[in-house]
Amino acid sequence: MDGAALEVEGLGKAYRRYDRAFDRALEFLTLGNAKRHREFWALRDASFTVARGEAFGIVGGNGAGKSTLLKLLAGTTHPSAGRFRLNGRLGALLELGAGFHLDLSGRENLALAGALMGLSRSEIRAKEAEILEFAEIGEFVDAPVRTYSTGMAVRLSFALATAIDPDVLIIDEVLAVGDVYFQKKCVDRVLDFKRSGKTILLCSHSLYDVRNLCERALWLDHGRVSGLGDATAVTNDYATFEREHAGADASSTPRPGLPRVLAARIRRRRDGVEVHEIEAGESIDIGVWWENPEPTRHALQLGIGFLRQDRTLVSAAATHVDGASFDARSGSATLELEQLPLLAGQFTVLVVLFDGDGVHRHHEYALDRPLTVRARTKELGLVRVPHRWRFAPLEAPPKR
Amino acid sequence: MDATREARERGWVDARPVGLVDALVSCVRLPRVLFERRELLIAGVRRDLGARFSGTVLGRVWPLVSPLLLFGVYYFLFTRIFGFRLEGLDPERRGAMGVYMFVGALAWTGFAEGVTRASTVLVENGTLIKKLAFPSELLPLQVVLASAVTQLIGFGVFAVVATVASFWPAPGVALLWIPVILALQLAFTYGLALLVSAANVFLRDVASGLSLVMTVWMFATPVFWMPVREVLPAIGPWLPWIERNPLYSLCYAWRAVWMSSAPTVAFPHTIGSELLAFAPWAVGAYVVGATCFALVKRRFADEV
Repeated sequence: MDGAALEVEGLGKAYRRYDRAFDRALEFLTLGNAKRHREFWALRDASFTVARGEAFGIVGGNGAGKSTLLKLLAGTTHPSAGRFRLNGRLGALLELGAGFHLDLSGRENLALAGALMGLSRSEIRAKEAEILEFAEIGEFVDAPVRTYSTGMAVRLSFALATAIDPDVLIIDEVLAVGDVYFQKKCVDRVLDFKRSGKTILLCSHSLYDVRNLCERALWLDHGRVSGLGDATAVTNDYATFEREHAGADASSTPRPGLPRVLAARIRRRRDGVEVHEIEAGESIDIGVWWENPEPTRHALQLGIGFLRQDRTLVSAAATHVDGASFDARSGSATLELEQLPLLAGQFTVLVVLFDGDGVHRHHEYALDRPLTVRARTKELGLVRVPHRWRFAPLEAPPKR
Repeated sequence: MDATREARERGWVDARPVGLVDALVSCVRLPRVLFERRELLIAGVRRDLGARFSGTVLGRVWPLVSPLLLFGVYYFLFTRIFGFRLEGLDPERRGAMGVYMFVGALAWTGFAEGVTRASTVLVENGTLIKKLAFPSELLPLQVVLASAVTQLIGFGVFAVVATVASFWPAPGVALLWIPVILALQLAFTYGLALLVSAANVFLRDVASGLSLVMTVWMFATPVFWMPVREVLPAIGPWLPWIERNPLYSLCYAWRAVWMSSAPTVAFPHTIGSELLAFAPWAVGAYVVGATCFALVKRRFADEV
């Protein structure tokens, strides 16, 4: 396998867990003859190959083994089973700011972190200008890192890790930090890497980044490989699977005597079947049932919203906003949504019963399963905005 | 065996445990690894020394102040107050007891501080070990070197003051022994440092226990007393045991250098024979320490 940048065969990592410090001491003092630990396999039986020049994504929930895998590859921890081989120089961005000393200046930290990565002083000095230019920390370069904003520290370590010109770059949850401008800069640099034939291993919570940057992806679940293959397919499978996690905790506990949502269901328009998963652009109807013990005391407004997994409200409809009035007694309502323009992702559907002014919330009710939207196309973003393109030759420069 | 070794040479990282042979091999290769990372090491030692006095007004003068003060106290205490005077001293060597104590204390501290601080250095730098792949052997060496530098600064201050104030004859050709003594001291200290730093990762009681051991060891070493019958008549039956202490030889060698083996009563042996006695300890400590370290170092990142 000459074209492979990374070969992984049956790789596994078991951590030892001790119930008491005494157990660890006993095992140590008997030179491991008295086994007092329980093994916890953070990663098991992982086998895959990453070709040279490929961008490879790694997805999975918390504790799925992503970080363990990356740590193994970066050489900070050692395998308990299987083996792997990396061809070429490795640049690892396991945690931003790792190895930074808060009391040292940015410049000193650069020298130190570079030395820890195995660069010589002259190599670091040669790269210094480039790194500082990319990091854009300006005159802070000689100030202690303690005084840096998170963004500045992030920029500095990203600049350093990518400046050492690795053949294989490992990026762990890095693109998610920093401001939008810098994120774009990072993504651009990662794309530059890709173009120059380098190999990238990207571990991210952002399925979007994985889908956008990577050709292939690996999905880890509880330390085992759950999916491996085309990045779009794997991230979609993962998104589908993840629905078990989201949603449930978004509900509030209804208080006795106050209005409460009894149930809510999503039905697909074309066949009326209850669904939790739709194709982008399908029409759906959301039915809501509620009870109001004292309609005379509690007027009602109704709202239905779509939340992204980070709880960002993507879109919502509310009766007090739309001016749709209805009877405050116990009843039901249907929200008709034509060609839902949400793009691929998972959305928690939240139903809210407000008071008459739409200010106080009586009850928030999240559907027990999130709505998964699958996209057949590689359209970008959260929603699909209706659009078309027009082109014309340049006749005169654009006027203000 | 051959198949796995071949696989490893082709770049495979596998789960085969580190065997005794691998550990011994890495113990031989270690000096080279350390030398390749010397820039990192120097920077680390510098930072270590700098951090102790950063933010102080006197800054870099502080490392010079403490040996000066120490020497003043020893000189005053042991020469003037306790009146430890040896028979048949030249008039120009009246301060012999003070110099004896001072040099012994510096040698002891140079060793003990290195080992003591090394015991916790891996745990303290846990985040570094977890996040970056670098030879963790550097960490104990860094503190060992830092304390050796402090010791050498002390000796330097002593040499300058002794020459300028001319209260003590300048040392002679014995100075040529310094590289040998220093190399052996570093090998011995580093060996123990590797051992205790690795042990403390798995058994945190090591660091606590070590400080007790070091206290006892200090009193068992002739730092503040002179193991000769002329000064301590009751020492006789214990002498063979006392002389087996490697630190006895180390302190002795340093003293022989700075005192030009005078007064003769304090130096019953030659410096060469003491170093010959110390050398096996130094080599042994290094081999045992480096081998044990290599056997368990893979697990550091999981345990710290």
